[in-house]
Amino acid sequence: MTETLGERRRRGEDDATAPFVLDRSSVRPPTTEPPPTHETGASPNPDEHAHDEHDGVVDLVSRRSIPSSEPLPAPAATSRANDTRRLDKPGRRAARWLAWALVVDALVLLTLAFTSLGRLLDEGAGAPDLLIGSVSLVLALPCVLGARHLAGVGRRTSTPTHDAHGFAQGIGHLRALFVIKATVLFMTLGLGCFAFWLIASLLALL
Amino acid sequence: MRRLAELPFDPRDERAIDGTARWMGALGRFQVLAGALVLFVSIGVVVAWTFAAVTAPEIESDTTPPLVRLGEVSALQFGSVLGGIVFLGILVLRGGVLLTDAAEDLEHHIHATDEDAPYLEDALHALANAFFIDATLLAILGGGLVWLGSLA
Repeated sequence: MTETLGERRRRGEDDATAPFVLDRSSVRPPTTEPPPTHETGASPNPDEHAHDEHDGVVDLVSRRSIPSSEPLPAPAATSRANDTRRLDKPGRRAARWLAWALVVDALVLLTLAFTSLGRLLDEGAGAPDLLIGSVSLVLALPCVLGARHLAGVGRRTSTPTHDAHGFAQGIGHLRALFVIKATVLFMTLGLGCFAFWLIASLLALL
Repeated sequence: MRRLAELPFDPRDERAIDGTARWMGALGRFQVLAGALVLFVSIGVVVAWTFAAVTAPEIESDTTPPLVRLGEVSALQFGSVLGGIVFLGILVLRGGVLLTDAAEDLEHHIHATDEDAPYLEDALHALANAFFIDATLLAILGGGLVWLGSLA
């Protein structure tokens, strides 16, 4: 069974693209006696110690001394939360583009809402204006909240964890919008089909 | 630099994105259905109009007047209204396709086995275009409703 990215993330494992966190203690356990190295002149032949071992398992890496100036290899598991790299430009642009689209949508909805409610207050218009105004207000709220969260993704001051939560919250706010729209559209389609069938049946009777 | 796919989403974040993607896909499919319905009805209306224009003088008689008379409508008026309806249907259809694409990209990201494909960036672009289309539709339909309300 193929392991998914989400499962790997939940276990805290990282992939090859993750950044390095230098931790010398996690690379090699401390030893009381340093192993003989080539730098100390113990053996001129690099493979000599490997041939000296009789158990068949030779850790050549542990025999090698690492100067303090040389960077250590990365450990296998590194937490993503420690990564402080900033979001790249395509990611920031995509999040802000969606935030702008939500702002435009919210502006249109708020214009509709205030126009309808203004007419309702001025002229005492009927239920359609009240319905349009209230539905537009309800639909504009998730757009504004989603745009607010998505616009904050990728800021210079935000951490990757903050970016991830902001992104998820921005997308999550849109869920209410999609639920309302899908329900209304489903009912409209159902009622439209029923009305079409009814009219067609009546015309067939005539 | 870090890509969007490398953001450290925790399970709660992934659940929120997954839930939104499901409803987004449902709405997209409903919109595709509604747009296709509008286009099919428009085609049917064009066929009926053409058929009526060709055969109406032959079947109309003085003794049996037509059951419903909608008044005289010029071909230009009819074409304008039908063109507007077809345009709205295409907008609804395109918005639905974009929403479905965005939902599938979000679900691919959640269940992905590789991080190289830019699923999240594609999803956000498709979603943004869908919201721009939605704003255009709302402006047209809402403006029309308010205008009709002012006439009544």
